[in-house]
Amino acid sequence: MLRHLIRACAVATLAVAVAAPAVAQSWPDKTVRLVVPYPPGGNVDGAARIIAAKLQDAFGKPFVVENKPGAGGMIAGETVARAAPDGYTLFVAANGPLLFSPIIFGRTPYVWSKDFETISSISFTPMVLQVYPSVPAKTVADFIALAKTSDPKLIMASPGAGTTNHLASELLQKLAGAKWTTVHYKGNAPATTDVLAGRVQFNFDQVSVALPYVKDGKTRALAVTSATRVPQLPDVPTFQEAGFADFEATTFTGLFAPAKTPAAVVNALADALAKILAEPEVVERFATMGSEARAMKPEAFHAYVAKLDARWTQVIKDANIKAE
Amino acid sequence: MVANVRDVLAGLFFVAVGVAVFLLSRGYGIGTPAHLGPGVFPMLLSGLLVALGIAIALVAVRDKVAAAVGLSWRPLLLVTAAVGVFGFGLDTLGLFASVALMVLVSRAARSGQSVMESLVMALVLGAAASFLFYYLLGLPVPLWPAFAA
Amino acid sequence: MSFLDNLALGFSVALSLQNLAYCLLGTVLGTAIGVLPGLGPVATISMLMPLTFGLDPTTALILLAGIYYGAQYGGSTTAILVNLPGETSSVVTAIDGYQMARQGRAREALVVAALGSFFAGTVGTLAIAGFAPALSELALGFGAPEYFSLMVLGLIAAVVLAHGSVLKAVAMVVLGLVLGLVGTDVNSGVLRFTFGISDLFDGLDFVAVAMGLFGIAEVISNLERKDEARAAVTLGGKGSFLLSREDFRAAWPAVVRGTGLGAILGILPGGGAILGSFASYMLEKRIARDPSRFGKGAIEGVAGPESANNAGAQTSFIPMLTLGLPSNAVMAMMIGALIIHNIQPGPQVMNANPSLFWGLIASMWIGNLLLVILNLPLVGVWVQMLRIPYRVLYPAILVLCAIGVYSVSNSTALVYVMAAFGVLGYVLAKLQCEPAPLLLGFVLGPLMEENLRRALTISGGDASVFFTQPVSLALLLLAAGLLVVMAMPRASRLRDAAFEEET
Repeated sequence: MLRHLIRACAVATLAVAVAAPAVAQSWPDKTVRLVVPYPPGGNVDGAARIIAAKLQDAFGKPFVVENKPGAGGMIAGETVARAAPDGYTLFVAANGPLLFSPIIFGRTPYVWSKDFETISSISFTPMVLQVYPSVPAKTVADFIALAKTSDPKLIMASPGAGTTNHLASELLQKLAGAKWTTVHYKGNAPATTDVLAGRVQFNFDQVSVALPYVKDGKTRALAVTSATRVPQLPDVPTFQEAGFADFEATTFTGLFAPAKTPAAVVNALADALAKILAEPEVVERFATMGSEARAMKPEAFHAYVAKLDARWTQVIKDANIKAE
Repeated sequence: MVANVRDVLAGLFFVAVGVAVFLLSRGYGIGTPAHLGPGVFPMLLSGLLVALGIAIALVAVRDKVAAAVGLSWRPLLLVTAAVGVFGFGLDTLGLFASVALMVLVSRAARSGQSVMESLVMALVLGAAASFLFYYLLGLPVPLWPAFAA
Repeated sequence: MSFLDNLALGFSVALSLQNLAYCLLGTVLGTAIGVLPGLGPVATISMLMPLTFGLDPTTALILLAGIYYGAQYGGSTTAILVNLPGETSSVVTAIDGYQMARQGRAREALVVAALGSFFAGTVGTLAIAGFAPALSELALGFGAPEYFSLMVLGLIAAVVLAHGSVLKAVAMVVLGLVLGLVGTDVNSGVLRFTFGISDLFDGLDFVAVAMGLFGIAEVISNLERKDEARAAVTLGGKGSFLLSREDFRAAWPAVVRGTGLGAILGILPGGGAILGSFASYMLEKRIARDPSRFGKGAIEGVAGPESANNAGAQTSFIPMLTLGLPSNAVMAMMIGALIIHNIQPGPQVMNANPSLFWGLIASMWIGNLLLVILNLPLVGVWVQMLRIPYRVLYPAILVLCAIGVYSVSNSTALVYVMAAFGVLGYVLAKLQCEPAPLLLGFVLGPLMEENLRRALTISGGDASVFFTQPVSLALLLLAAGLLVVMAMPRASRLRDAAFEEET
């Protein structure tokens, strides 16, 4: 009963016509699982739920989000890597589970380039460097200068060792030749709380989280981590504008399938996502999360992930972030 | 002869855990006052556990009250086995069969129960769990064995 | 806009036919699923989240909030009837609630839980409506030194949960602290005690540990008793619908005190809500004329913690509503739901969407009211369930526990963890070591270590921060005072029984 109710609600309200592309085989003829490596709530889960509803409309079969949190996303990754490559088990992954966790935890239950087919990117989420208002720095240059001379050192609030936020901070330290103290928290909420209270001086926060604080003057935004400025904060420069040509740190979410999944299925999903992620309504939803909805073709996305892999592996090794 | 065997055993149990924690946490690192290492807390706790365990055992040695410990192996082993069977079977045998098997094993935990009743309960609970969790709540598990599908 | 205007706006939104219907649906579904062991608010909300996709955001949040209260209430029911605490707060309820059920007072325990929760919910709602912005300052005022001192106080108080030997209770708290170390160390990212098993990287799951120690161990203990007649629970004889006069008189002051404690602690995002129910238990046991009744079915031991729990459940919305920061997993999902409905969560919600904000607050109160109306008649039904012979009941309990624990993260690893803790719980029970202090150590320990190390890092290794911050100092003095009281056997009625046993 409940399931029917759920399905009825979803179908009735999200009836947007995306014609199902013609796939050679009968795929899909049953429920498709979208495995999410995090608990419900949060960006990756949100992205998965938005596209699940849309894919369900496009293909006419249920697309169900299944949360398998744990071990930095590796439990979910391993599940998908070992699943049958029949297009019924897909992985909604992000930088962490795919690239960072295996290095940090020193385990390789999967290698992304060998064990998964890249289907398409879903969204890109930039971060913003925000400081407590009493910190004297107004620009990135001031900030770096301050960090170099400050005693005791400035303190950065990180939502956890090995998160994109933490790695962005390590990358900036490396590029700027500055050093600050990193304090890890269990998740982003307590880290942001301490920045708001002024107990620590700064953090890298998602734009959607930081936006209201920046607008109210509770924090000051110095730069965004994406390659281009973000529409929500048009006056805030990028790190590249501020003189760090190599600095880019955004979280991507993307759709992956077990290796050897039929090309027809991969292409059908990629084509459907390209249409879905261009819908104004979908674009707006991702914008609310502080993310940019953008599909990439399988090959282009593969190349993108490979480029990130090379860059961040080096950052993690240089900063010596290890779990053991 | 010690009367309160129970508390002596309890004390020894805490000492054993404390020693194990100490041995396991030697490699974790002590750090500096500003950056306490991940080994500091486990080390402190292991010391506390050993001290408490010794104290519990010493108090018990002088205790006049008799207290022994007897474990009932049959329910202990079979209830644990029932839960284990469920976990082991869920991904391969599916929800219905794992629940039914779990019920059969757990019913054996007590002697003199009707076999007929056990079989009926296995079927009924298997069906009820399938309906409630698979159909109504959409739990992401296979319902039937992989080879049957 | 004034306070009354706000409330009027809220009720006009919440009382629309559609919103009222979804509020009812949420509380009913929440109770129905929450009563299944192991399926607490988090699992329930994540399962039912898709239901909200087609609704407008206010209605969706009202539905989710209803599920949240319903599931929490359902969880207490399970804790009382079958000794299965599915979340931290019901660990405390299980201690005296289950004893009441065993003495044939399940009805009274359930009724007092429902009425206490309703009172606490009402106060909590008023607190949010009247003082949310001011109270959010309190959340910001708690930093690492304050949390550390709060956890020290909490851990010392955890010993009070036991009614046997003090030494054993302390040892159990420490054992809980050790178990809490398993997993990735927050401060350094280093793995501890995981033995290379990736399912342990995030630590031992609370639900699996609690259901093993309490639920599975209880089934094993019950099965070793030969008499089928009444291995688990006896039925209530008295037919009174609500509470007897003595019960009411004993319970209401506990409800009021529990509500106050729970409401204040619930505001603290860093684990304060965890402390509410057991701070209340500690207080009730401390001031009772005869503390030895606690752990043996004292009605105040249910009334206080249940009220504290529900008051905290309400006020834990404050950091989310005013700062946009989720204080627990349920709040994180609520924020997720806002985002899916295209609403930017954060402090601006109150001004940008006043009808959503105040509508949600009004519906919280309505949800609590519906919960009482719904559950008082249901108490009779639940109590009747205890008529089921134990030989039929226990396999069903095991099945529900196993599936419930699986649903926490859709992983069989947790099922094995639960089995292991079932064995440990049984053995510890045989050694007369009580599990409640262990569980509190398990929950509070990681917070204590994390905040100690964080405070020292932020202060540059200067330990004086714990004494120079006034709130931290006050909490530490309180903890020291409690320690002194407990260490003086003659001055303390609290630990009398324990010290008699040992000397």
